Amino acid sequence: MIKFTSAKEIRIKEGVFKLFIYLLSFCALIPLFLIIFFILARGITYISPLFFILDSPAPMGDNDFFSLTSSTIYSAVGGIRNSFVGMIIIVGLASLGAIPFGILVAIYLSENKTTLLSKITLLCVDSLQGIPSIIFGILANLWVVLTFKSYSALSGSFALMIMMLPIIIKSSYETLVLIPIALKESALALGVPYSKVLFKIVLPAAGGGIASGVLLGVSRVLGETAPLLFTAFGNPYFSMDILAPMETVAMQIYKNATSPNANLIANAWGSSLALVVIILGLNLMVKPLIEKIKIRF
Amino acid sequence: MDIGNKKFISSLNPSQRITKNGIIDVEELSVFYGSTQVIQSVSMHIPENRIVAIMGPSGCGKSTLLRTFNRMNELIEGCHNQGKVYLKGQNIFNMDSIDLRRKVGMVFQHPNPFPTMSIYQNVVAGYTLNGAKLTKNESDQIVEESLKKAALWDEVKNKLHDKGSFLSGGQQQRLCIARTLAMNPEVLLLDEPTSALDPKSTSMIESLLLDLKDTVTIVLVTHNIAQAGRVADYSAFMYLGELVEYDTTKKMFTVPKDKRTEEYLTGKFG
Repeated sequence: MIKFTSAKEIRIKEGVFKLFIYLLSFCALIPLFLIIFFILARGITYISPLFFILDSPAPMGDNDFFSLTSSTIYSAVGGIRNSFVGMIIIVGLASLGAIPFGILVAIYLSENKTTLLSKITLLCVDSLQGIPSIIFGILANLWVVLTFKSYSALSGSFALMIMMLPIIIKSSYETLVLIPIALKESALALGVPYSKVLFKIVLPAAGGGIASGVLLGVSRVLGETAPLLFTAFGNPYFSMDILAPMETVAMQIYKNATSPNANLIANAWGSSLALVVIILGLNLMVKPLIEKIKIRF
Repeated sequence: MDIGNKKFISSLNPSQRITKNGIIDVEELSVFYGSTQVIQSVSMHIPENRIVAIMGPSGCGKSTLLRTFNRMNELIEGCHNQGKVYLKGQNIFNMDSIDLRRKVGMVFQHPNPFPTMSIYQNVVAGYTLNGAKLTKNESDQIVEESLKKAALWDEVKNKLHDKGSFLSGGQQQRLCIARTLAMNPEVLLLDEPTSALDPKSTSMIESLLLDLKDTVTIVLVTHNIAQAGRVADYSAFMYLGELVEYDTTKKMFTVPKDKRTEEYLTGKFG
């Protein structure tokens, strides 16, 4: 006779396994909460409404800084106005290029799965995602900075655009290939021209997935520093000139955190908190909207 | 075709009618996917304002034949044809596929209303997506007429601006029929339109087809023999890409000429 494992033994094994899974999930959350906790604890003391109005501060002697009272400390810590506006401009320009470009490439890939060009493109897109971000900075430096003979926000946008491309292409492609072919066929069967089918039927149906890909891409480059170091270069002063150096929040954190001055380090803590809140807020705000337009097949 | 000729045709008995030119004439059509031949030199005439059912076991080429009539097969890579298909005497392979598809509408197996559009927008989609400028009155009229033709108007008239995907499967399929009818096609192709639906929705669609045949010629692919018996004036039986038998439904169901047809109809295979 075949002997089964006793039910009791199975229950015990299952219980242990479940506990193990809960424990590991909890462990995975610890670093995330620690990061948020430390940034919040250190950064919150320097954040005030002034933080978004003031620019990055000038370095100040530590003795002077520590003798400031709590009412005067905020102007010494400064803010992120210059880098916040710079981040919006640089990432905005990068998105302006990467989103339409990426979506068009994804459409090409999903419509021509078997051609050699699309196979090579898909391979390149996959490998592009694994390239260290600083390489994109070097490329942008070589192509844009050396051509214009100046560091500029534009060259930074260019580097970030190339970084965003594979993320947007890949996620849009994954969504587009899931659209049932019957949907396309039924539009074509109405005598609708192919281009209209793509832009009025297929793309809107994939809208939700494409939007999450765009959000993923934007969140990714919002925190990038390396590709901007020798393209956008950084600028502690407020500037809106896209052909001149400009700063982003992540760059400001990098520079101020590595400086010896206590007031700059304080600014870096505040900026870190602001950046984390911006990215979390963006995700929390946009995700429910994406869920609304998402269509499941 | 002149009137005298029409009289001549209508004086024919039903079986003779499909030996003469109809609205669609197929002449020695062969279809290949790559090097595999899936339709073996089929010739048939489809008479106007009748329902023709194409039956056969899976993989017999019935859907492929249907999809040739509005050139949907061209979307499949490696598919090519030999032979001729005429729509009212005009070779469809010389027509612009966009013009052809506006005249020969198609409804698919799975109901697929455009998911981002409302019921109303779905019905006029054929116009709006083709760049036609409709006044509010015109489009209201098209929507009401088409939905009435598709026997869906009463169920949706109060929620025309809801998403089409909120409807039940049977309603969605009738919406797809309405969307196709809105274009005033001459021929309506249906590719197993009820195979994904429950019996009640199926019978609604069948009675709808019977109402429609006065205004449009219907070609129906089905693997449901009983359905062909219920709605079709003519039935065709295909097997392994070959048109085995094509006659009035009554004749084919009572005195099939070919042994394979008889075996299929009696449920020995398929």
